[in-house]
Amino acid sequence: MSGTPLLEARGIVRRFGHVQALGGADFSVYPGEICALIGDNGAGKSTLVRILSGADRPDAGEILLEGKPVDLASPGTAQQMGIATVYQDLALAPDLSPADNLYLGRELLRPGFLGSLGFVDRRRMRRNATEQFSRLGVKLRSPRVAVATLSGGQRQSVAITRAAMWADKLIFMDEPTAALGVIQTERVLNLIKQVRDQGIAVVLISHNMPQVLEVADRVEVLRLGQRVAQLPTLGSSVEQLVAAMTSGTLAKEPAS
Amino acid sequence: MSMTTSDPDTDHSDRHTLGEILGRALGGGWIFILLIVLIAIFAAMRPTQFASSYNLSTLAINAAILLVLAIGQTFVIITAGIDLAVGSVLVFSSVAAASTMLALSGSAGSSYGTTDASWGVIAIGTLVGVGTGAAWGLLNGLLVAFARIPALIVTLGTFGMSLGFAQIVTGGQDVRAVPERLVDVIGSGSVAGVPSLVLIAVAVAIVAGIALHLTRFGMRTFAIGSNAEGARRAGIAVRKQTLKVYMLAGALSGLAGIMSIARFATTTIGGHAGDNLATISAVVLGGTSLFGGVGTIVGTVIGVFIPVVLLNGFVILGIPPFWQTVTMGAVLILAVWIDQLKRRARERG
Amino acid sequence: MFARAWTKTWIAGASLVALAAASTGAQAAGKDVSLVLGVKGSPFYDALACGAKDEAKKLGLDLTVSAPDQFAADSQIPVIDAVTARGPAAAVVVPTDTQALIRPMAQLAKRGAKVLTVDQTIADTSFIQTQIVTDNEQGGRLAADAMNELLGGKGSVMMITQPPGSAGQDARAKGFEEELKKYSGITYLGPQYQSDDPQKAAEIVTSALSAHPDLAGVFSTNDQGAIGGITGLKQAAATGKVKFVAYDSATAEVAAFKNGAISVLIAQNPKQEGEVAMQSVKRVLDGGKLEKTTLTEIAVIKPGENAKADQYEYKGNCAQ
Ligand SMILES: Nc1ncnc2c1ncn2[C@@H]1O[C@H](COP(=O)(O)OP(=O)(O)O)[C@@H](O)[C@H]1O
Ligand SMILES: [Mg+2]
Repeated sequence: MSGTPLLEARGIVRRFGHVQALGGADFSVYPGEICALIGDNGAGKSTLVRILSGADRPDAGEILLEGKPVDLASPGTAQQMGIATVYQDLALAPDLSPADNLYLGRELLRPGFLGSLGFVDRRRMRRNATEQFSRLGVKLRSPRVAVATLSGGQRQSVAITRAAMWADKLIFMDEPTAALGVIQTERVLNLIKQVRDQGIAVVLISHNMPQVLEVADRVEVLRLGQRVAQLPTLGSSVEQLVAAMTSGTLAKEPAS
Repeated sequence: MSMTTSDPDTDHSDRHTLGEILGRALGGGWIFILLIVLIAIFAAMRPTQFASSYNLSTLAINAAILLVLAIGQTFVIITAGIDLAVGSVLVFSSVAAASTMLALSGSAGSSYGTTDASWGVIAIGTLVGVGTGAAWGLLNGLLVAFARIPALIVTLGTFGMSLGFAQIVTGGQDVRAVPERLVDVIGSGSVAGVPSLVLIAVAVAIVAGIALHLTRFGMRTFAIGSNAEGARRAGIAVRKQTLKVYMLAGALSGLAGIMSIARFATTTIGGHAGDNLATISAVVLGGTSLFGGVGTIVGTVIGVFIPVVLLNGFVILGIPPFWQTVTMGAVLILAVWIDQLKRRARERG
Repeated sequence: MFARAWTKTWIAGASLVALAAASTGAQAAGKDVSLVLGVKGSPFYDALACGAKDEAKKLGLDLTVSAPDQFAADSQIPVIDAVTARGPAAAVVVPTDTQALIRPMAQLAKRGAKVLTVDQTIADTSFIQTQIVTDNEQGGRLAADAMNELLGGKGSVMMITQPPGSAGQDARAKGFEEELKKYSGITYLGPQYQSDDPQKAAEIVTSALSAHPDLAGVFSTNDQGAIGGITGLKQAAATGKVKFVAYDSATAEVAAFKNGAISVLIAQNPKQEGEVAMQSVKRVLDGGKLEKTTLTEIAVIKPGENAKADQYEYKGNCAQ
C-alpha cells in the first residue's frame, strides 16, 4: 500500500453506555479505490461509517483527510469536504421525482430576481439529472415520476447517483444491495464501479464475500471494534476473509 | 392522475406539458369532475335559482374564508402534520384584531354595530390579526418541531387554548362594533363585480400555489412530509421548515379572522368549531395525502367547493338537512378510498 | 382520455338531472316558504318544524325546512344564502347571532322574501315582518318565583347559564336575577357558565356543593345545563335535597322531572311557535300587517303535573 490515504482514522473509540462499539479502531481508504469494510454483526462497521461521515462523533481518536486532521462535526461538514453517504435505510423522499431527489436540500434556483424569491429551476434540475443518470449508466423510466414507483434497485441507484453528484472524493455505502434481487444487485454493483471510475473512492459495507471479492479493490476487516486485517482482494479467497472476520487470525500488513 | 396525463414511460420531453401541469394540479382529477357534475345537476334542475349570478357569487363568498384556512391546512398536511387549531386561531385573531380596532376607533359608524375606524386603523387591525395568528402558528411549530409532540395533540391543545383565551379576553361576549369601512368594502363590497372576499381568497390561493409548486420553500415542504429523516440528512433544516409551515397556517388563520370580521360584522366566538374538520376534509378531498408528501392547492380549492355547493344545492332543492351531512361523509370516505387505490396502484409500479 | 371522462360525466349528469327533475315538482309561486332552524338535530327545533309543517299544510303553504350543522352564524349564513337564491315568498329564520345575520337576512328581504324570525331575533329588525319569541326575561322571573316557592322563602341559590353573548340566555338570567332580589330570604350565589356542555354543568354543581354545603336551589337556563346539573346532584347524593328549576322541557328533562330530580320546568312551546310562524306568514302573504313582536307561551310545570310535562315535551316526531 503506497501513498497517503484519502481518509484515515486512528484509534477511534465510541461507547454507548456500557457497550464499547469501537475500541481504538483504525481505518484507511485510498483515492479512487473501492474498499470493502467487512466484519461480523456488531463489529462496529456502521458505527465507524457514521463517525467517518460526520453523522456521529467519536469519544476518542483522530481522523485525517489527505493527511490533515479534520473535524467532521456534521454530515454537512463531511459533504463540504467531498464525503457523502448512502444509508442502509434509503434517505430518498419517495413522493418526489428522481430529479427532485438528486437536488434535495440543494435545489437549483432560477437566475435573477425569481431566484432571489426562491423559485426553483425545475427544467435545469431535470436536465442535469438526466445527464447524471446517463453518465453513470442508470436507466430510469422517467426522471419525473415519484421515486416510490421505482424498483428497489432503481431507488438505490438514485441514492448512489445523488451521493456521487455531491461527493467528489468519497462515498460510504452501508449494505447497498442487502434488500435487492440478483439482477438489481448486479446493476448496483456496476454503478458502484462506474462511480469509482469517475475517480471517487467508495467504502462498501457488505456481508456478501463473493460480492466483496468481485467488486472491491481492497478489504479492511473489523472485529470487536478494532481493525484486525487489511488485504487486497486480488489473490484472496472467501475462506481467508471469513477467517479474518471470525478470529482475526490473518497476519496484519505493516501499517502504511 | 393517470386520467389526465400521458404515460410517464413514453414521456421524455423536457418541458411541462399542459397535461402534466393539469394532471399534477388536479391530483385527484375525479373530484374536479364530481364538482362539475354537482354544479351541472343543480344548475339544470334549478337554472334560475342555483345558476343565478347572485347564487354563484354567494357560493364563492361562502367558500372564501374556508379556502384561506384550507390553504394553510394543505401546507401542514403535506408535511404529514395536522392543524386542528385553524378555526379557533381564526376566532382568537379576529377577537384580537376587532378589540384593537375598536380601541383605536372614534365614534360609531353610520350603520348598526359599526365604527368609523379609518383605513389606517384597519391596517393595524389586520397586522394584529395576521400577527397573532402567526404567533399561534409559531407556538404550534415550536411544540411540533422542537418539543416533538405529535401535531394532533399540540394543535388540539392550542385549539382549546386559543378559543379559551378569546373567551377570557372578551368575557365570552362577541366584539360587535367593527369598522364600517372593513364591513362595506371588504365584507360586502366587490371590485369589477367580484366580491372582495373572493378576490382575497383567489390571491391567497395563487400566491400559495406558486409558493408550493414553484419555489424551494414548497419543494422542501413536500420533502419533509415525504421523508423527514431523509430531508434532514440531505441538509434541509427540517425543524425550521416545519416551524415556517405552521406559522404560515397560523398567519392564514389570522387573515381569515379579518375576513370573518368583515363578513359577519362581528366576531364569531361561538362559531368556527367545525372549521378544522371542514378544512381537513377539503384538503383530503383535493387529493392531498394525510401521510404527507403529496398535495396541490388547486385540489384544495375544489375540495373546499364540494361541501359548499352540496349544501347550497340541497337547500335550494329543499332536500332535508341531514342528507347533506350524510352525502358529505360519503364523499369524504370515497375520496380517501380512491387515494388508497391510487397509492396501491403506484406501489405495484 | 380526458375527453372521454368528460363525456361520461355529462352523460351521467344529464341522466341524473332527468331523474331528479321527474321526481321534484316545480314549486308553486307565491306559496313557497322556507324555514331555517338554528341547528340540525335539536328536538326543540324539530318540534318547531313539526308545528310549522302541520300548520303549513292546513294553510296551503309549501314549506321547506333547512338547518345548519352548528348553532353558529358561520354555519348558518351559507344556508340563508342558499334560501335567498331559492327565492321563497316568505322565510322564517331562527337567527343564530343578533348581528352577523343582519346582512344575509336583509339580503333575503331585499330579494323579495317576507322575512320573519322565530325563537331568536336580530339587532336590526327594520326589515323583519315580526319576531315570534317568548319573553325570556319573563321566563327567568317565573323561574325565580317558582324557586322561592320551592324553598319556602329561604336558602342559597345558584344559576347555571351560558357565557354572556346569547340574547335569550342572557334575558333568562337577567329576569331570574332581578326577580330573585325581591326575595330577601334567598341568598344568590351568582352565575356559573357552561356552553351546552352537560359534563361542565355537572362539575359546576359538584364543586358548588363542596363550596356551599347549604346550597338549596339551582336554576339552569337551558336543558344541557339541567341534564348536567342533575347528574352532578346525583353524584353528590343531593338529588331532591337541592331543588332544581330548569328551563325547557327536553325529553331528558321531562324524565328527570317525573323522577323528582327536577322540581319545576319552565317550558316553551316550540310546536306552537311553529304554528304561529306559519299563521303569521299566511297573514303577511295575504297582505296583512303584523305587530313587530309576537309573543308565544311560557308554561310553568309544577311538581306532580306529569300530564302537562308530557304535553310540553320537546319532540320532533311528526311525519317528514
Ligand atoms: N446507537 C447505539 N446505541 C447503543 N448501542 C449501539 C448503538 N449503535 C451501535 N451500538 C452497538 O455497537 C455495536 C456495534 O454496532 P454496529 O456499528 O451497528 O455494528 P455492525 O454494523 O458492524 O453490525 C453493537 O454492539 C451495537 O449494539
Ligand atoms: Mg451495520
